[in-house]
Amino acid sequence: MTQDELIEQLKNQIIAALSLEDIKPEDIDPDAPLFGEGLGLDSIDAIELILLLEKNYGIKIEDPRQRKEVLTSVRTMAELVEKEGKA
Amino acid sequence: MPAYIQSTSMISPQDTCGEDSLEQPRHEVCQHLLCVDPDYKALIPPARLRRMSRILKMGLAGSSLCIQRSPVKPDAVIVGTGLSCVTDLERFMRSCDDEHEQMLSPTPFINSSHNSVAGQIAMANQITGYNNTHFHGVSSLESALVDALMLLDEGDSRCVLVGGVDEYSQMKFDVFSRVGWWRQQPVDNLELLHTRGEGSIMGEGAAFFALSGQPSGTDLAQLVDVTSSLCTDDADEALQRICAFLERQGIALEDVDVIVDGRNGDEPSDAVYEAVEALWDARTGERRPDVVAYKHLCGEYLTASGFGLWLSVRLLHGQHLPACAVVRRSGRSQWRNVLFYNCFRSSVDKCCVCNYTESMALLREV
Repeated sequence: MTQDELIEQLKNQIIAALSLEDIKPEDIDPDAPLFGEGLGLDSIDAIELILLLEKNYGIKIEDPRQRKEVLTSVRTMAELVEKEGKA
Repeated sequence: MPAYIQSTSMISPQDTCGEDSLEQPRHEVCQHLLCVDPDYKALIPPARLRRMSRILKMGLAGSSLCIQRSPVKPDAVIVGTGLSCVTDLERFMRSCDDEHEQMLSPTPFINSSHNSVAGQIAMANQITGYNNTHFHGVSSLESALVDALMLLDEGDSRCVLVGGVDEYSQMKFDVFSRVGWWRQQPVDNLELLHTRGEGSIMGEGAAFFALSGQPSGTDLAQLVDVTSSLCTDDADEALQRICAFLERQGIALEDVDVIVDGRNGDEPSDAVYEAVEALWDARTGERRPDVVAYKHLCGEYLTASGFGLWLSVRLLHGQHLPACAVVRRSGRSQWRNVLFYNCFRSSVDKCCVCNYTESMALLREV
């Protein structure tokens, strides 16, 4: 799977997991911040995204600092999935 | 001390968020009725809305409408609910089982507590005062109203938002089916009270009332008194209890203009209402009251009395009886006192207090 395909897959999974009913995959900029600006997600969404990575890709992020880096954008999430060889 | 009803809102299987919705009541052949959803996106910020289950949407939207309509902003929130956010609780428990208590999504957990509705209303509307949730089976809303009357009486609140909220779920329908609450066959809800059978149809709804201790000049009605206790199947005893309740406010049977009763199509249960009203008629003669019913419009659920109370307020404020709710007319042209009278008699599980409860409320024209 290419990174672009993985990003599309992640966008769909994020929309489903966070019930972002009015948002389509094409509305999500893969480089835009997930929190604050961009999608405007909050701390509960952060837990849902960590669960998403664990359930769908078997990736556990134990270190809180790494969580913050990984959950910067959809692209940083995709890069972790690729790095862990789970794409 | 009576409370002055500043505003109401009702989300129900009828289009009660619209104008004159009961002039053309919705009906269908069914075993349960679902609410007509208002435009939730217009009433709840999208960021909150996306995480909400059905009951939270109903509760937040209903409270928002009631607050918007009230001339006085509530400073306290009291919610009555039979089973509250049980659907989210069910989701959470199922995920505990499926995921072996690992990787649990936080959202259903956060939403699964009984006081989620009252808490979310307080946060959404910045109401930082008294906040409580009553869950006592079929007298949950009545308990909330008694709490509100006491709070106003003690002067601890200027205006209390009181709500009764319960949602339909397949699980609830199945569980209550086993104790005989529902009709075995689908029935047209508008024919429910005229077809013989045991059990009712299930419903859901969210009713809200803004109650103030002082009149504002635009009050819709007065809530004079509320009570609830164990039911009786004896019509004489039931009428005695009604008389005692009315006497607390210096009212006689003849002074009641309308009874809004909770008959629900369950034949053994409805027979007791009819027996009580026959005794009432024998005592009052030509001064007998009009009788109105409502559960064929909203279905039966643990806080269905919210629909009956909403209808009572509408009746007093508008001085109009919607034809679909009339059981009988007695030729009165003005309605001043309304007795709301609800008895929930489950013929199977009488041993359970919350399923064998009687409640009354007296409402008066302002």
